[in-house]
Amino acid sequence: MAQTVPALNDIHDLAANYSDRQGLRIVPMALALMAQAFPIPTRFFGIDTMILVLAFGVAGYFLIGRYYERRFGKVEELPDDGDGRERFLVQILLAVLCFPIALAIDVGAHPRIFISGLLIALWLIITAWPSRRIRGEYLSMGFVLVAFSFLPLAGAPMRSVGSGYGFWFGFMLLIAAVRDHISFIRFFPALEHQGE
Amino acid sequence: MSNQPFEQLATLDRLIHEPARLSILTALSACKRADFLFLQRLTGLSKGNLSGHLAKLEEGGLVHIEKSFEGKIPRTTIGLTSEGRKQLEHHWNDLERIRKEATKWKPEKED
Repeated sequence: MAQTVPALNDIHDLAANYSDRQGLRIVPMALALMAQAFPIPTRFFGIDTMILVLAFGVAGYFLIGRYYERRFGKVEELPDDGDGRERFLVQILLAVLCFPIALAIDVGAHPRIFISGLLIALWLIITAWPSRRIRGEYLSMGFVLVAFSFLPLAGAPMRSVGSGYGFWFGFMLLIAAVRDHISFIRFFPALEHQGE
Repeated sequence: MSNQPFEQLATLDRLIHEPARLSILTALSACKRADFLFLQRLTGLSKGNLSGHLAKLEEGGLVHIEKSFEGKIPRTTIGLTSEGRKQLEHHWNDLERIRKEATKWKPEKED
């Protein structure tokens, strides 16, 4: 056995949350969110830039997953228990129903609160992380974004609140992603020489 | 079984209790299946050593090993059998019981 042996409960935790621990997978999405703060054209080759940027985030998640699979191997996680299914349904409900409504309110009614931002922040706080363990940094990220959503009340223009929200959300995700990746790769001990 | 907790350690199933095999079984207990590369990275063992441990676990009926091809690349997938899951849980319970007894244990006074 190699010199550094991870603790058994850490091994259990890694195998149970294998894909969640692969931090780099959310980097493209983080960059896509940060891009909202920069003056980018609204359409690119006739396609809405927002859709392209989100597609980049989603595709990146799966492509980077392939890198982890090739380098560290593949783990088929256990199916979610009852709680996990409920959490998943809540997320789908929020994404399919609530978010477009909130976005429509933001665009149409110009409220004094950034409603869609607040919804995302609350989603982060409630679900924290779609795994079996609550992740502290995602919880605090949610609280920061709640505060951001109330900035229009203090007189900040909604447009700059929206782009600032995207940038800081992406930035915090990026930091968390790099941190997760570093702890992921540090988890694995050095390999024995193949000749042994 | 002896009343001495430290003597009870010797009665633990060595097939499971060996550190590399316990790491492998712990990882497999937390997932449906894992591939050879993951277990190799996790334990840091060489291919030969890991194969040896897996062969012993398969022989003991604790894991099942599937060999397949993804395109031209061979892939070995390992999962815990229901018997393996049961025995691992039993092993954890034994360890926990011994740990508790060891904290209460006091050496007998010699006359």
